[in-house]
Amino acid sequence: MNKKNDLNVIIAKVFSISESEVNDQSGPENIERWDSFNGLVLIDELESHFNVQFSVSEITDVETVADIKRHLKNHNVVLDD
Amino acid sequence: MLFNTLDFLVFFFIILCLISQFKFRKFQHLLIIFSSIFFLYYTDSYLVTLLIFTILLHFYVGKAIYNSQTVIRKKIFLLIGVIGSVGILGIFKYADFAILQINAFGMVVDLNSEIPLLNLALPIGISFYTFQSMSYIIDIYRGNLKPSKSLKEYAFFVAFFLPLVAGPILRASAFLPQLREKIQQQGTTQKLKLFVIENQNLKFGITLMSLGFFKKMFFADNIEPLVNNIFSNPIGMESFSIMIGAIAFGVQMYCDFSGYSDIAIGGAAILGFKIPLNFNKPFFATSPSDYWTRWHISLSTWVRDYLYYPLVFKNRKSSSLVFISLLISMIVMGIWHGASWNFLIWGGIHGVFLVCFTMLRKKFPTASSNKFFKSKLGKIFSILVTQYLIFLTFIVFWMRDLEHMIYAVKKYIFLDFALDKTIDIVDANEFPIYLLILFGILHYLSYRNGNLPERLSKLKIHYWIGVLFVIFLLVAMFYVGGNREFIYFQF
Repeated sequence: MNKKNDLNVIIAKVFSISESEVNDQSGPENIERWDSFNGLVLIDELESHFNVQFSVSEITDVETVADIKRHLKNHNVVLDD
Repeated sequence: MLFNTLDFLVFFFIILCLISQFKFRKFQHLLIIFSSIFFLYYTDSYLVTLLIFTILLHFYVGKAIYNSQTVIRKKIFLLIGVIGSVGILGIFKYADFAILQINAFGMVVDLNSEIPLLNLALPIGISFYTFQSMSYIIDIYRGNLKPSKSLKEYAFFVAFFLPLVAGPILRASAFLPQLREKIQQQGTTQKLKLFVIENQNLKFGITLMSLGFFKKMFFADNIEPLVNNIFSNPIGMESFSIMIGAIAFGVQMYCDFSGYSDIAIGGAAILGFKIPLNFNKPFFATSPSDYWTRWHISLSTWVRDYLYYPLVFKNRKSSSLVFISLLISMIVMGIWHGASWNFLIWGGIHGVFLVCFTMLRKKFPTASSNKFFKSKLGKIFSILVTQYLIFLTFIVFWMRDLEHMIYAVKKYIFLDFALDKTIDIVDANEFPIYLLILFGILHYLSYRNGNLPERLSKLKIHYWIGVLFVIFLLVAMFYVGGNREFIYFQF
């Protein structure tokens, strides 16, 4: 399973949606269960899976999955395209 | 200057005419900035100087933070900016409340002197533009935003008259790029854009503004008498009357506040700006947490990003610290609304609901995937339970008198099943009751059919004009008279 799939799987699991619903534009505006609680759960899952540590600046700079990918890239986690 | 007045319509019309006639960037931007300052001066007179002070303070603090070489220096400038904003807010909004509490304490311990009240007028919009300014400097400090190079650009962002006095609270990271225009030949210069009023934006903007006027002047203003009849003296009222009052006030608040937001967002859309939604069908929220992703979104996301996440981030492994952070954040949100115990209690109650819901989610993490909660019946159940809790908080929001509040809340929770007085109230307030029913139907239809303003604005021109005509006819026929202020102006 490649890393891009890993990200989609994690997001789908945290927000109880199907993987097919996850794309780069997905975010709190279009995923119903993406609230502050699940946002923190997502951060925990991503940090644990990709072995990174996000800062407050990064987590408050997330509006879409594309932003998550950008921040992961800053932590040298390159997701396959 | 209230949106629901002829003064505003004339003011806005003149601005649009001038912008469409004079296609010079500098003129257009200075027009909006000075019109915005005039807009505030018209309502607030000399207190407009606070807005100007806030603009200058945060513009220069933002630059200083960005140019500082060390974290300590950045922190110092950030502190200056935040203390400046919170200081102004504290003095004008909360000082007298604090003095009253100190004096009350003084009476209890038999001190024989009282601190005199400041009796300062509350500047219109101060809670909004100070929060907007604070988010600007905090985002620069966090490295998520580069400061504005031009005071003109920054002044536009803060002073823009449409969201100025009652939101939505804008984020610089989303708004400033819309002000700028890349000129291809010159690469990435940050020249402010020329405003061009496009037909598509004009149609959508007019539709949204019309819906805003409809919500405020047809629904909110006509439901208000029912709310006042029940809540101005609730002692002796039956449970069902209190429930009707709570529902009526919730609908009034929604129509009033989201109506204002629609006018602001629609007006900005005409000028080519995209301002995010401030409300997203909150009465269909399925949990307290979901509610806060749908009600006053610009404030709830502000509190989440600038208070809750910083409080909870390092301590999120500790459940008790997460819960305390949640409670503090919601109490701050309550106090933001005003210097009064009922707002603090209101925030606290919402905090308790969120904490309880979070505890349930931690204890039963797979509950949301449960077959029942995913079913239609489960969703209806979740909505009804959530809205029962939410409408309870509207009682607290309205009532400043503690005895009234306790009575009404008790009646709401412990039903007496009496109906006589309730029937009298319904008989005496037929029109607002019909409006509540009509609102429920229209709100449900809009929930089922997606983006109503977008769909209406795409109608063929004769149907579109027909819809607008009906809206304005209803507003005119049922206009209650007088210039009824928007509820959130008082915050």
